[in-house]
Amino acid sequence: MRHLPAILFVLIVTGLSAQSPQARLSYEDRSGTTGHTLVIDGKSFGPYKEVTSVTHSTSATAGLFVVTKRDKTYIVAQGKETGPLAPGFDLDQSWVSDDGKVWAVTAYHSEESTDDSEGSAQTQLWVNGKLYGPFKALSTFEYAESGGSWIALVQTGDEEYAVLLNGVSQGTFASVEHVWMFPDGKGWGYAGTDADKTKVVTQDRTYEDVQNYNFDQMYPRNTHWGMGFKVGEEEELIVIDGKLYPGYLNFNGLLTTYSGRHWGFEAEKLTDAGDYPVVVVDGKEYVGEGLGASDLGGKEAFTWTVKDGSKVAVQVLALP
Amino acid sequence: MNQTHTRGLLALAVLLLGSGVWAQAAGPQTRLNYEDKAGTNGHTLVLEGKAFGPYKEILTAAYSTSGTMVAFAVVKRDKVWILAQGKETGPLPVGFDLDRLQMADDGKVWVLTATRTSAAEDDPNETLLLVNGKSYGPYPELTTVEYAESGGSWIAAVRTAAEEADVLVNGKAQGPFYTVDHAWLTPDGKAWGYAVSDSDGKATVVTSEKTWSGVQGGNFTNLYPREPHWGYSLRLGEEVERIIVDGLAYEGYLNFQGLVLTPSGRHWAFEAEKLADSGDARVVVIDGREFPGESLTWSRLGAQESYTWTVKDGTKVTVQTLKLP
Repeated sequence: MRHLPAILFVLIVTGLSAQSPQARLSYEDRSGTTGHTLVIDGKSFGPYKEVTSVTHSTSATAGLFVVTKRDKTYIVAQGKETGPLAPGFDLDQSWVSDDGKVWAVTAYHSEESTDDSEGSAQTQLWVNGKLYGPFKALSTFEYAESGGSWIALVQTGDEEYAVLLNGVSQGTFASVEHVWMFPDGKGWGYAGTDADKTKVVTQDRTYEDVQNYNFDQMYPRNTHWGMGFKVGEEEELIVIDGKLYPGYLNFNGLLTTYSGRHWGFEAEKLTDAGDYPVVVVDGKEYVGEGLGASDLGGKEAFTWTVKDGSKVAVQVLALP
Repeated sequence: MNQTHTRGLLALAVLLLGSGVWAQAAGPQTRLNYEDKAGTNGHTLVLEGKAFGPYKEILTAAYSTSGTMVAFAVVKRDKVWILAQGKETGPLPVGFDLDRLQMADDGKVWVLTATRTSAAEDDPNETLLLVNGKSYGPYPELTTVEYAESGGSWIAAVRTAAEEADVLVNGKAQGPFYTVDHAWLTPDGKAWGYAVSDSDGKATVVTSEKTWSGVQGGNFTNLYPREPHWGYSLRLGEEVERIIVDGLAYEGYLNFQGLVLTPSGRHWAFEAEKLADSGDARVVVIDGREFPGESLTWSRLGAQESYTWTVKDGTKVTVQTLKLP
């Protein structure tokens, strides 16, 4: 009992300290008659005609600088200058991980056709100073905040796609449904289809002939993530936040509330007495279907309907 | 720390923990019941003991935000009708397809929009608005319709001709205006407003409290009061700007850049210039607290959300991060 005031005091102080800004990344941009000199961690880079943009990592612990020198674009990251970007390619997106072990930029070039045919476009990918491509397109780039891992989905031909894992091609596919990587770098995966057969490859194993897949919410940077797929005659594999939810069929995808604090999915519950629709909210199962999320002035709720013959009841679960 | 204080703190801790546990333990509640009796002659809907139909098809059942009320779109003799507030309304004119059907939590407003599309150049698309059984339009364009969850209020912005627009406040037309830039209504129905411009670009903002004429500029990109946080700004003079966030005025700033919400919607921020006799300075305002800096962005890793901005001191640049609770 004597410790309670102390515990409350610590809780209050912790809350207050969380409200104070912290300086993470510092650098100097010295402007002179010869241009801009960047001073990062005591090391000088430049002079540059222009410091075009600065990208900082998610927690602002590392930075990436896009600079112009002799009218060409260079990247300054990891204490090195990389470039120039190829003529005609414009910088598109840029990323740097919290531990600074991955930096990446994409550069885009488009060419209008001189006849009625479709114009052409090319995307280059630079990762840690190494150039990949050009590709017809790059649709996904995911990286770990620590450890240096990355994964990318690129289009290599008209109907040909490839997955690059830490720079190594994992083969080509007629389509790639999804790629993902965990921010801690401990897990990754992709789902690719070739010759009408879909396979899911994760850091642990490969699942061949995958059906009924749903990767719509397989974004491990979000507060909750989930996926579902069926392998052959085996039971459907539904994984939410790394936890397996067995005994269901026809996973309809993960639904999260506006704040991202709560999640739910609907599926069919498999039983010997017959399957029936259920909703699973934050891991708890309820009978029902037609799951929806609502938010009114910060008050979040999940809503679903329960059908009993001709009778329909609308159920609402107010969320804390 | 005497015994009375300790007891008080203990009670507070129990109350805080208890309310969280109770909220977690609360089960689903049934808000609404109805029957959909399917027979050989179609579907009969039974609502609060009253039967409607039979209908060939129940197209949609639109529940209110909190699941307390329902409106149905149904098909009878191959035409679409609306069943809401215990009454049948319709049919929709031939050629119009249902866009959306919404119902307020207290049942005092139901809103339907329907559009007639045409590929012919001389026959432009039209949108029809139905509110509580009354028809408005059709209009060449309907840009906004918002309704209150309680009280029965609603507002809509419509284009009536090529260079003519109206605002409908509870069905009463305000205008005509050259453009309607934004229209809003708080879900409790207590506040509303709209921003309009004339052909010379002169802007007027009308709110439930006051009319602001000669508005030189504004930012309405986050004026959606159904979001967890909302805000807007009005430039009323060279050095006079009115910034409103969640209904509160933030004074002494210029060049409001719009509200930046975190993905969870729990936190808000904006950047602007702080007016001071010693010289204006860039600042960021986060959940109502001001910090020097600029280039505000949010980030999220798992459940941890942060705001990041830069502080410039001569040639030195520091990136600041504020972790959010």
